[in-house]
Parts: sequence; C-alpha cells; structure tokens
Amino acid sequence: MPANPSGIKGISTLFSFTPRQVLLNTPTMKHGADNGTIISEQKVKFLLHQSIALYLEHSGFSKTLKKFISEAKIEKDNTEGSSVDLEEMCRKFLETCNDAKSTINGQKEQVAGVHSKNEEEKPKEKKKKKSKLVSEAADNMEDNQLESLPMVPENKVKDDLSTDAKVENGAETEKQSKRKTKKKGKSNIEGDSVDQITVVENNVKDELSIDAKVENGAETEKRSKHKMKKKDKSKSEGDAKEQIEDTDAIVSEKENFEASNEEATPEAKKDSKKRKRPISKENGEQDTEIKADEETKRRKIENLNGETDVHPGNGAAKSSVQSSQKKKHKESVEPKPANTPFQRVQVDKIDFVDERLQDNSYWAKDGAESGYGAKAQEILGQVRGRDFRHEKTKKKRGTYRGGFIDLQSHSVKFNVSDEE
Amino acid sequence: MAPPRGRGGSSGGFRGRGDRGRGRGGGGGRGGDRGTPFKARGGGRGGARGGGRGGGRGGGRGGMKGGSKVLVEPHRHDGIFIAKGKEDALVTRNLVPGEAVYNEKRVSVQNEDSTKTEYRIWNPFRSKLAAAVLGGVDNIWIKPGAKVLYLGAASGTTVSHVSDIVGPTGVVYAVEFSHRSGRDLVNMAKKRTNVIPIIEDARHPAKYRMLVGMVDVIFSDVAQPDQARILGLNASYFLKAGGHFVISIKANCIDSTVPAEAVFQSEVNKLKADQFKPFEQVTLEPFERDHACVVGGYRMPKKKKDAE
Repeated sequence: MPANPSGIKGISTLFSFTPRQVLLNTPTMKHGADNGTIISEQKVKFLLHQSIALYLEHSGFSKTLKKFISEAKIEKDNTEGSSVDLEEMCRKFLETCNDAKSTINGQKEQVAGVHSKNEEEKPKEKKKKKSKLVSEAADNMEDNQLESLPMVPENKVKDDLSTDAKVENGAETEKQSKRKTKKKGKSNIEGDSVDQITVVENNVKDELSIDAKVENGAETEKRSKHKMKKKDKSKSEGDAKEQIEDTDAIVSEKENFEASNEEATPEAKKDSKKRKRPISKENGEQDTEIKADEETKRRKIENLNGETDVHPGNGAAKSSVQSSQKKKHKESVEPKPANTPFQRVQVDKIDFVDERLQDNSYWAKDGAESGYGAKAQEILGQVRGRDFRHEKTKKKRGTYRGGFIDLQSHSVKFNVSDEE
Repeated sequence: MAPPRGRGGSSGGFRGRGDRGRGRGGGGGRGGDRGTPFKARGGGRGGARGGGRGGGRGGGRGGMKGGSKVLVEPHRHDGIFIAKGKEDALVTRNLVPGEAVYNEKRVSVQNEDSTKTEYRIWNPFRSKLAAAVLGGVDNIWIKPGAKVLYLGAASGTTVSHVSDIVGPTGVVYAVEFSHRSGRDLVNMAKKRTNVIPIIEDARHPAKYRMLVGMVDVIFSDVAQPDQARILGLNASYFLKAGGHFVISIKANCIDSTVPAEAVFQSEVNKLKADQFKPFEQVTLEPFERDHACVVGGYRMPKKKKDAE
C-alpha cells in the first residue's frame, strides 16, 4: 500500500524537532552500509576473536585463553597472525576520548548507529555487528551487559545499594534516577516478561550510576570494581586492566549520552524512554539466546570459583566469590537428620564380655549376702533420687555399721588371655 | 598399764572429730557442727558433738564403739587396715597423727612397744576407692611407696587416705579443677608432704607436666563424659608402661538414657582402644548408685601377661 510509506514519512516529519540522537536512531542512516559489509564483518569478527585471544595470551590468562579458544573455536596458530593489539587500541581510544568533545560526538554517532542496527537486525547479528562497529572496549562493555543478564536478579540488590550510595553525591542525578525509575515502572508495564523487566532495571541503574560517576568524576575506580565483580561472575575472562579500561570506555560513552541529554533537556524523558525500549526489545529478542547460554555461563562461574587462586589480583572478585560460596554453604547445611535422641552409648552395639556385667546391682555381686554393704543396701535399695541422697548422707556421718569385712575378691575379672 | 579407754582416756578408742576446719564444701551440710560451744571446748571430744549428731549415744560418747577394745588388722591390700571391734571399719594409718582431715573418726592403738599408732576411719560412703575396696576389688595397686596421680581430687578426703596408704615414700599428685574444693585440697596438702595439689583441668595434662613425674597408678574420679579420654591423655603423659589405672565410672555422667551396665561396657571398650587393659570391674553398690570401678593395666608388657 502506498499509504504506509507515506505514513512512515509522516511520522518522521512529525519529529522534525527531535534531538539529533533520535534522528540518528532512525534506520535510514547506515542501513545500506551494513548489508554490504556482512561478509567482511565475519572476517572482522574472526579478527577480533583472534586479537582477544592474543591479548589474553600476552596478559598471561592461560586458563581464560583456553576457555575462550574452545568456545570461540579459533585455532591457536591463527592468534599469532592477527595484528590488532587490544591494549593499544584501548589506549588510543581513551586518548581520543580525553582529547575533545568533538571526537566524542563522533563516537556518539557510532553508538547511535549501533542502536539503530539493534532495532533493525536479527538478534544474532546484532551482537556481532555491535562488537564490530563500536570500538573494542565498547564491545566488551556491551558483551558484559548482555552476559550479565542472567545474573541480574542476584546482582539487583547490590546494584541498588551501590547506585543509591553513589547517587547521593549528586542531587541532580538522584532526581534523574527517580524519574528514570518511574519510567522504568512504566516500561515494566509495557514489558512482556519479568526477565525483561529486571534486565531493563539493571541497565537503567548501570547507566545511572555511571552518570553519577561522570559528574563526580572521582569514583570511577569504585565503579570499575563493581563492574569487575559483575564481570567475574558472568565472565571468566575477567581481567582487572581490561575491565578498568572497559569502564572508562563505558563512562565515555555515557558521557556522550549525558551530553545529548543536556542538549535536549526538555526531551530527556522521551529520549530515555526510547533508549530503554529498544534495549528491552533487544533483550526480548535475545532472551532465547541468553537462556541457551545460561548453562555455559553457570559452568563458567563455577570454573571461576575454582580458579580464584589463579587470579589473585582482584580482591573484590574474590570476596564476591567467597560470599557466593557462603550462600551455597548455607543452602547445603539446611537439610537436617531425623529426630533421634542424642545418645553417647548405643545400647544395641554393646555386647557384654561377662554375663555378670549385665547386672550392676549389689545383690548380683557374689558375697553380697554377708557383705559389708548388705545393711546399707537394705536401706538404700528402697529409695531413689532425693531420698537416696538423704539416706546416703546419713551414712556419711560415720554411724554405719556394716558388720564383718571379708578379704575376698568379688570383682568381675576380664579374661585377659581372651582379648589378645 | 592397760590402754586407756572410755571417755576418760585421751587416746583410746575412737575419737570424735577432733578439730574443726576442713569440712567438705566449706560450710555446706555440716556447718552446724562448728558452732562456738564446740570451739570453746578446745576441739576435744565430749558433749559438743551431740548437737551435731542429733542424738548419738547420750552424754557425748560418739562413734561406733567408743570405749570398747579395738583391734586393727591389716587388709589384703597393703596400707589398708581393718579396725575390728564390735563392728568392722576400714581404716588407714594416719600419716599426721592427731589430725583429722574431714572430721573423720580416728582410732589409736598401742603397739607392743607402747608406741601409739593412729588410724583414720575410711568411710566407703565418702570415698569411692573405699567403696571399691569393700566391694571386693582384687587389687587397687595403690600401695606404700607408690606414686599415684589422682584425677578429680575434690576436697581431698580420699586423697588423704591414699596419702596414708602410700606413706612418706610415695607421692600423690592430686589434680582438681575447682578452686573452691581445691582450697580444701591445698590446706590438706599443707599437712601432708606427700600430697602435691594441682589446681588444673585434667583435660590438659600439658599444663601440669612440669609438676608430675612418672607414676605407677592413676586413679580417676572425674565423672565427665569424656573421662576415658582424660584418663588416656594423662596416662600417655605420666603413667609408666606396665602401670595401672583405677577408674570410677558414674554411668549418669556419660549417658543417663541407657542402662548403667551398657555404659560401663562401652567405657571398658573405650579403655581397651586406648592401650589400657582392664583386669576387673566391680560395682560400687550400695555405697554409690550406678557406679562401677574398673581396674587395669596400661601398656602391659607381653611377657608379664603370659606369666599371668
């Protein structure tokens, strides 16, 4: 129908005053280019994996490297061939970030491009393209976010706390966060599944905390630690340096976002909404993929728990791992044995050496009738408990007369030769 | 001259509690005996005793047979004697003549060479070792000249008799954890040079290892759930190979929910697992309830066993 394209056009004309980012989000911009580069992108991706592997090898994360190679299915020989140095790239990227806002703006365009693609393309390709187009660090960040999705319910509380604590520093950001959370609620209603909701929340909060950080300027390190924790949980590739760089990259990206917000303050609401929605959509699309990956991630986490000795560098990660282990312990302790009364002596396991030992009473002893204790037994045998003590105390006074003391041996002898 | 007897004499027959002081538990139970009239009399025998007794035999002559002739015979066990009068009583020769430890009665007899020997009556209701002896235990291994480690000495009533038995050539290491009863123990040890009081937990023999040498016999009356372990621990530190142990087992302290006999058997099995070789077991009825005394050897050499 001819009406439809015209309708789309009409919508686009309606938003003639929309901020630049919204415009950038529209699918018209890099669409053609994307289609043309699909084949080359696979190459690029391959190259990227290789470079990652190379970086891991250089940094000495042998186990992570092994895992990565096995999962990414690249041959080890190829890793040496790739020439892209991640570290260098990151450094350069950071430099460019710090240089001027003009470059930031340029990157912002890139980011916007990513989002546009996210909206358009198939879930599988989305991830890949993002990683290709955006710079290396940014890619890692995105991966982080995506991979941490299954962990979101666990992290949520922590995230809340940390964000709250950080947000306190800037009142403005706090307001923003409140607004955003409200919107988040809206989006929750709109959202299809609980998974999506939590994911959205997590993302929003991440953004918020990072925003706060950018404004405060000082606490980026803490944030990086926080990130590290997450990453360690979700990804076995955790490396402190890389992560810090990642966070820097993220920060810069968020800065861009901030900048755009500042540019169009009245439309910030709309903007954030739009931003969130694509993400949630994206998550919804990727949900299946994520679920499939969940198992492998769990395995990774377990591996990580085992490998904490290998990564002694980051204490934060360790503590998180320990806490998780504690939780596990608590859960494992829970089941209790059946209600059996405590007994130091198991009666059924005792077999008597001598049948005389089965009766400890006085009359069972030989020589009891004429023994010194016979008279006492006549009295004390009648009473129990308190009365026994009473009678015995009387005897302690020394008035007891038991009669004749014999010199015979009346004890029960253990057969010594038998025991050998 | 015939040995003086009756209330007029100063040395014949059984004496009442001569001196006050060292009652068990420091004023519990028998505190009434220590009234001022008693003290005013100078701690002698006589009427003062009547009040505490609640009767007795009238005018102040207490004891089993004050005034009757007492004959002391040695018991089958070295260092233990039997005072034979109208009734028999277990006695030990007093190491410190003229002094009672816990207000027990004493009997002194005149020897042929007109020297006097004082004996203290050993009440089986107060002492588990005496109860074991009267119960007919084959051998207590505590004899004159022996070195004894006594775990669970309490106020030192039995320790004083053990000190009598081992005599001046033997030593008694008396371990007691409670300070309250340990006070009485220390006071008793002041008079008896062969008693070494140790106020420590018998669970930690390393704490008093510098005080205790190798011993011939360990007597254990700790009444703890892990008493077999405590005995094994102390034996590993102080008991010589081929030494002996005497342990009094209170069934209720270990497990009150099962028959006492089962408890005794399980304790005997525990001891067997700990290099002890139980020789005999005797009930302490009727002097104690649900108690048994087990006597045995420690790290017995093979040859000796074969000989036996």
